[in-house]
Amino acid sequence: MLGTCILPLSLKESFRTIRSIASFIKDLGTEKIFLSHVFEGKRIRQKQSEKMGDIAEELRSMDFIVSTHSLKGSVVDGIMDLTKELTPDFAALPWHNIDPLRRSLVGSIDIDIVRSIDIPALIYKKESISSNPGLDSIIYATNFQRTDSIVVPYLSGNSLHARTLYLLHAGQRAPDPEADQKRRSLIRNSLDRLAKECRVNFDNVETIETVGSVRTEIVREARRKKADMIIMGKTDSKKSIDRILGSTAESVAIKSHTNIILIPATGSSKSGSVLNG
Amino acid sequence: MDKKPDNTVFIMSLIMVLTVVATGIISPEFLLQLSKTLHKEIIRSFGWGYLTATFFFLCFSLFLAFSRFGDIKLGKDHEKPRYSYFGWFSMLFAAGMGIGLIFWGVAEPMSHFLNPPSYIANGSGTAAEFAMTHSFFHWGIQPWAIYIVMSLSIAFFSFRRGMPPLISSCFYPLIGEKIYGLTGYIIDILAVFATIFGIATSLGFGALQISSGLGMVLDFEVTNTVYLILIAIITVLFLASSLTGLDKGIQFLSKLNILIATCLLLFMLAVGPTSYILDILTSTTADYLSSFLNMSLSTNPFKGYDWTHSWTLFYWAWWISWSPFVGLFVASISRGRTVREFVLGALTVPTIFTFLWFSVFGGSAFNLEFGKAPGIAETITSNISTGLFELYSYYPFSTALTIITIMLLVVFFITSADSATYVLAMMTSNGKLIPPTSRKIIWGLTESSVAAILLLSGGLDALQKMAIAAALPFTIIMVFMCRSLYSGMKYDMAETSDKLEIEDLPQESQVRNIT
Repeated sequence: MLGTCILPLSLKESFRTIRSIASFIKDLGTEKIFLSHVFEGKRIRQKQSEKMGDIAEELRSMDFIVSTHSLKGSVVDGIMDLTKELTPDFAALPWHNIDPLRRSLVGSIDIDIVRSIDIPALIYKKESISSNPGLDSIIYATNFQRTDSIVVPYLSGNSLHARTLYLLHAGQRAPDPEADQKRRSLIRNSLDRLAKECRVNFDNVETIETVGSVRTEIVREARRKKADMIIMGKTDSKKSIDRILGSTAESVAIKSHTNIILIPATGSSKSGSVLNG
Repeated sequence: MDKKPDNTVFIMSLIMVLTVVATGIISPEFLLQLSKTLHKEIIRSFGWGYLTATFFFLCFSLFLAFSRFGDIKLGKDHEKPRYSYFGWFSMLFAAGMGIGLIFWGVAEPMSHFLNPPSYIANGSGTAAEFAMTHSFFHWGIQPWAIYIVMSLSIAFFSFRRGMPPLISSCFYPLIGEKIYGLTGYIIDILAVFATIFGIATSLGFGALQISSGLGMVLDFEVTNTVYLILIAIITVLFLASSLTGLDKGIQFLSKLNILIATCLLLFMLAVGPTSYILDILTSTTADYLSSFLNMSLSTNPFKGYDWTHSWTLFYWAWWISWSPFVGLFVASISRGRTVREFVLGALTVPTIFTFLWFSVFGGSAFNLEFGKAPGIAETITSNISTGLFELYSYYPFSTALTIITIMLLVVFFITSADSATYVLAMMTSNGKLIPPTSRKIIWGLTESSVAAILLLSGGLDALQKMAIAAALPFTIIMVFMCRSLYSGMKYDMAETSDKLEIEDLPQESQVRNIT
């Protein structure tokens, strides 16, 4: 399910980061990498081509099948074109931290890619580079809606392995204690049901039920539980507020220090949002 | 509800009230200085906040009325309104405005006319236009929007969601069980504080006006003894009304008052300069509508800054400080109505009546000022409590009109104090819809005592400013209340239309198919 991966690089990444991403995606079962770089200038420079070659060699030495792809033009469009052409199972995106002022003034290519991409995308955060092999824990934020149908196969199949799976539901409190009791009871039952379905693939499945903003709670719980990865479903949002403030996926990608895998609910998506309360 | 110790809010509120009153008796100058400083600083620093918050409350109310939330019933789905439209509007009006409108109906336009902002020549035609438009504005739809936010929240969380009718209940979606703890206590105690001081101030000023009217008609000197006797009589009357319950006491008195007020209004319209009044009504309505946004959001930092502080911001803070009391009372009489019906009813009918009132009484005074009695504006402004009676002296049956107005004042006085007593007793008995009689009596006597003591010691002004100071935390509380109400209504809508996320939970078989 995650056998092939497109790895777009800015070529500013260090070899250490590349090795770290490679070892991370190896744990996800990836065997083939489409190494790609989009040149924004008029011609492809020798130095950059050489670096692409060196990275490819490094990845081959880690037992990956690697092919390199260079394009010219807009980064986001180039990556979208390549994903259509090469049909990888997912994209691994090394995240570049940008300060909020610069992000709001000049934008962020990473966020543009997250918004536009219509295949599963791994957002790789440098901060979570770990020396331990394999994943200790994954956190999945569910709202028991459409996204479950596309995320659960990843959790119950052979794609994602970890010792612990945290199933998180974050939502708003009901207007009165009685209704809230009922809401929480329903959520607990549904989390338990989902946990039962996913238990096959994980040693330990824990459920978390919190009250609050989805985008804040996902980040908080991931930090609290020291999760290695957040898995989130992504779907089209018609909400004007999401269009103005950015989707939950974008918000979590910016705020979280944990690796995130976003799985889109629809075939093609131009503005994504996680349906989560 | 069971988790809340029964008497915490009651005891704490009583201690706070008695402390402030004791300060007012021992050192009225200190209390006045303290409240003046607080009031001045709050208005100066957060005036813009009052304007924007009030405008936001109006937009929020209209949004609720015209959105899908408008269909939500303030009660269970099968419930019908408990009071007829006439009974409901009468009580709405009596609790929300009543006594104040009689007090300011003539005095406010005249006061603005003689003391407009510095960029308008006083006593001019422009000043008259300005006076009427701003009287409409201060008593128009904004005050009702403030009341609506408060009462809608209480009614929704209490009658629809089964919570106790307390202001703290409205915050369950935001703070959950903390409503039963310190946060909830603070909110409820603050509401009691604002209510008791608001109503005591109103009663004190009302007593002044009734005494002045009686003094004019019966030709006697108004002394402190007169005030005390008057307050004692009214206390007995409103306690009697309060103990008979909402259905009989307040409803009957409110209906009676609206009938008397309407008769008075029609008489003045018919006997007075009818077409002049209707001209003023039409023209001021047009001015009000065309300058509505400007008046709603302008703090006038370049011109008329002080005027806006002394009037508009004062009023907004005053309405907000009254909102816990009016909100709780209006909520309790609005059970069974839909959100749309409630918002549109409360925004339009009292506002139209208020516009008519100002046009008739203010217009009649302007007619005299510009015609046969130049200088009446000056006379009215120099003694506001007798302003209306001065106007009557130019009309036939002036003694009868004065007596009717005094009756009107007394009854409004009783209905306000009656509903405040009911609300205070309810707030301090954990939201019991039928609060204990003993609590009604305690609060009734406290209101009257506070009004009487501070009227005599000269602390009424200070008390009014203290009530207005309480409006600042309440403005913030009300903004969060809107957020909480929106969350609650959204949940309610989703629950009833089967769109709630937890009801869309995948069934076991569905999850199995997926995996």
